[in-house]
Amino acid sequence: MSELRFAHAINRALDDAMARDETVVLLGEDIGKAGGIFAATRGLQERYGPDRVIDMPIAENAISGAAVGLALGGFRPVIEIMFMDFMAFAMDAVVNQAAKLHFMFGGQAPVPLVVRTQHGGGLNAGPQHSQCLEAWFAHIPGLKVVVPATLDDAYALLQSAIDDPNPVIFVENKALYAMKGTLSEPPPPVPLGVARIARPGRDLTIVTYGAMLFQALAAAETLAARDIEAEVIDLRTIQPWDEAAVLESLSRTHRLVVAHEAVEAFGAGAEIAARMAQIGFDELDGPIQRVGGAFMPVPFGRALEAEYMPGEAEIVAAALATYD
Amino acid sequence: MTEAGARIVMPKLGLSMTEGLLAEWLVAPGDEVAAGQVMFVVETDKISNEVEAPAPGRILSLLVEAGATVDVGAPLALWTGPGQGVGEPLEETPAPVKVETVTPAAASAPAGDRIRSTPFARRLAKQGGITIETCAGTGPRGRIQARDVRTALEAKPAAAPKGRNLRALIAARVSRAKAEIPHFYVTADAAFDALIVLRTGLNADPATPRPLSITAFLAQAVARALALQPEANVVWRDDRAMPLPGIAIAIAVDTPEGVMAPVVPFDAQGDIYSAADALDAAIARARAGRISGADAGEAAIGISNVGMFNVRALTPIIDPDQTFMLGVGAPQAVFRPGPHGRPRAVKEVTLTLACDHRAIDGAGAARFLALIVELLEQPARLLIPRG
Amino acid sequence: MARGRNQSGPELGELYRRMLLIREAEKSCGALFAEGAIPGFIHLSDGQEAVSVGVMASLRPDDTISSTHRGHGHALAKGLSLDGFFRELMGKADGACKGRGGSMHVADLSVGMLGANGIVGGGVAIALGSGMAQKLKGGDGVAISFFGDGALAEGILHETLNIAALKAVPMLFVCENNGWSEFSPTSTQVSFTLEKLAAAYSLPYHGIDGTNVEAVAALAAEAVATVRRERRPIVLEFFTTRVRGHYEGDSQRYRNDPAPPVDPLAVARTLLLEQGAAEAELDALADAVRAEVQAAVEAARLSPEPTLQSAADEVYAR
Repeated sequence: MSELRFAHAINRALDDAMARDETVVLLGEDIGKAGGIFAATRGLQERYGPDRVIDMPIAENAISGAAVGLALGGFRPVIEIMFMDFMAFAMDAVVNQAAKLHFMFGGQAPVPLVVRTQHGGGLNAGPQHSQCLEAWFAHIPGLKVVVPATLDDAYALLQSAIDDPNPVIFVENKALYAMKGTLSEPPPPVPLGVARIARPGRDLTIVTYGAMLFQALAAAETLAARDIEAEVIDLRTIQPWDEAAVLESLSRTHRLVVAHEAVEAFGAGAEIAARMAQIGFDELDGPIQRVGGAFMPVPFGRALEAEYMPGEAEIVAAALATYD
Repeated sequence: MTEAGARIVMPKLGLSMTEGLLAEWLVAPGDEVAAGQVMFVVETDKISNEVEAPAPGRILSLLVEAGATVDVGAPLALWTGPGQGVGEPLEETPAPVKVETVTPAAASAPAGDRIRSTPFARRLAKQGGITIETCAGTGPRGRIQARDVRTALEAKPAAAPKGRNLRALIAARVSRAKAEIPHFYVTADAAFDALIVLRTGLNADPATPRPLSITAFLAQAVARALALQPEANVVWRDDRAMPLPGIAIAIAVDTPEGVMAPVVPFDAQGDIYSAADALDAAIARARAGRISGADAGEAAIGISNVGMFNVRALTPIIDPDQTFMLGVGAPQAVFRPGPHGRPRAVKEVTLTLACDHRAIDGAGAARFLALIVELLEQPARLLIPRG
Repeated sequence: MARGRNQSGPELGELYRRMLLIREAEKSCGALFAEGAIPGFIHLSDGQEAVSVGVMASLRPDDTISSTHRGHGHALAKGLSLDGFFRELMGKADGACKGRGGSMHVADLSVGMLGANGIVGGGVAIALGSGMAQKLKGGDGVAISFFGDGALAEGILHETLNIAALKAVPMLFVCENNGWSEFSPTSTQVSFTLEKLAAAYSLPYHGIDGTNVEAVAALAAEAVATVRRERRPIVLEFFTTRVRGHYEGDSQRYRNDPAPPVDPLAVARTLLLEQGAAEAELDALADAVRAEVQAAVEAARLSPEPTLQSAADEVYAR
């Protein structure tokens, strides 16, 4: 076990992947010489050379399109889109090309690429640098979407994402990069699409992913003081998500809260809530509650952003509302 | 849009059965059921019967609640397996049959208002055998939640009546018997000393496999008599005396809820010990309230032995499905003229045979009773297996 | 048959045959579409055959190309089979893409055809990546991005030219300039010439008339050889005519061409006759090609439709 920061776990995962598979190549802006603005790719160009860790100009569309060409050419590109907000520039390559080529070409070849990006508020980065857009990509057949919360999961899931023959959007969180945690040696492998019960409980199920996990765990402690034992499930993968695990938990607790930092309206939580209302209808002893960002751009400013960010208090309130 | 489903109906478990009480559901909507799996329990006045699925299928909906009494052939549930009874598979789920149900707790819903309940609460109520409307809702806007159902279930009396009113069922049967069957009676007194001596001797013998009761001897004698006089082994059906294919005797058993009469089949060649085993098993089931379809076969005659109560005779009522009922009194100590005219103390048991005059005449009934008496007075013959 | 000017590649006669094949195939597509046997949109490339055939003449199966929505000629010239082609356009289960892509997405990765593309400019960066892959693998394979003048206004083209130049990617940018961007003449869409654009990115540029297959083949051979050797990009532009509408069904009322379009097949045929080929020979060749195409069309009609489940099973690769 080692004490590391989350960003180091990403770095370790990329390093180990590139060491064991010479077809893994990295593309991105300032990832080579500069080692990435969050240091996720630090030291990799020195180790693997500029042919495999490629600095690209600010051209998200071309970077993403080139990744598709590289993937079709037998490589496993891992590209970095610096802020998830900039995925907007990459939409044609990711949505119209990468997601569809395997299907559209009748299964002739897979497109094994990974888009690493980061989302979330908490650093006062403002409306164009804080968005959580994972729901966009979870909505596209052909893409997979992963959002790890812990160091072990970040390491293991990035390995699994790189090994996956499909295009995977791997979403890190800017506020978590500096988080210290333990990285197991070696971290246990985690396949895509499998959730984890982060805290077992008998009264209520809280489904979450990403940084919100820590808010949910804190909320569970607060609820425990009121004799409500919450079970917290970390989805880890959003697309495909572990429906069976959530249903199994709901069949024991009969109450459900879905929480994420992304805007609540039309967010990933909407799919989880609707699906559980459909297949878990008979288990429900109260209405399903969602927690997410308010329907507004993430504001700048310390006080404003702090008030905007959904967290422990909102999850506790939602949990109590399932008894309403 | 609902799935079309085929009917599961109330089965006819006895020739004279017209309705049954659905005592317990053992499946719920959505369950996948295998062939042979027990789906529900039906109680009639005679038996409690577990009904099995005839084929695999998935239960779609339950139409009748546990505790409801429905006619034979009435639909009980919809499923994807083969349909039973008349009619095509239903295209839509019909409204549940309105039947009287037991209501252990007071209803709390405001009059005219919609009952609000959570899906889980409804499921708990169904499993617990109570109707959701009888639960007091403590959720918002009076919504009934799981905790409310649990509260209602706890308040239910522990020995909740299964809803069966045996006395009423007995009343219906005996009333019908008296109304429909033209009874006549033949009476005889059987000398019992030989049987008493034989029985005592057998039961005291260390080699005996098991003790024999008086009822065992009575039943063996009646069974032998039926074998020797086939014209008596009939039941009145469809305007004729229908011979029965085998020999069976109904045994009246006193239970806390009322008399029950399991039918015990007899092997014509069988020995008295096997018969005693079968008798004891049937009596035990009846006392435990657990007689099943196997105890509800056809029989020409029932035996009601009240000898243990120290009454001289019983003039019984025939079961509507049978032809005879033999009432047996307690052994009486009397003086009878001996071979030289001198009084001799003997034990006698009064046998009163009630007969259905549609199926048998006086002469035949008298011959039959005389045969029984003869077998009881020479009981050693009952131990000899028939050739 | 007499030799063409391109001494090291296929003879003119063979180039002519390949163009005939594309022309016949496109004619069949037009008829099939009109009869309703081909669903959706199709974009026919009549008049642009010389570019497809001339450029592909210098390529190997391990060289890769990306294409446009008007990619039938590219696909057939690169080696997609007639059977796979017609069955795909008709949406059949044994089409090149199992009936899931259709006209705008015909592809055959086994011969380096990375797909026609329904997005204008959508294939350009894919060719960039493919070229980067060629470079990483070593060897002398090249990647080609085919695009029309309609893509000149798309940002992705500019991004890609920039990166290709910066990173010295062994690829060719091949523009088929037919003067039309959908319903607008290119002059109203683009404020520059590709020649000037290439110069802005410090890339070598060559632009010629694209109706003479010999000339196209000769230029392409030289350019491809250069890219193989020097591993840096080159920009080529071929001026052609778009004989048919932007899509089949486009009545083209917006066109007012001063002169009738030049047909590259007519140019090649004239050249062959000048070189001593007999009319009868050429007619027989045309008949044979026509028969080959018809046979593929009739066979394709009999193919089965795909099932939705088989499509659903391949949304993700396993």
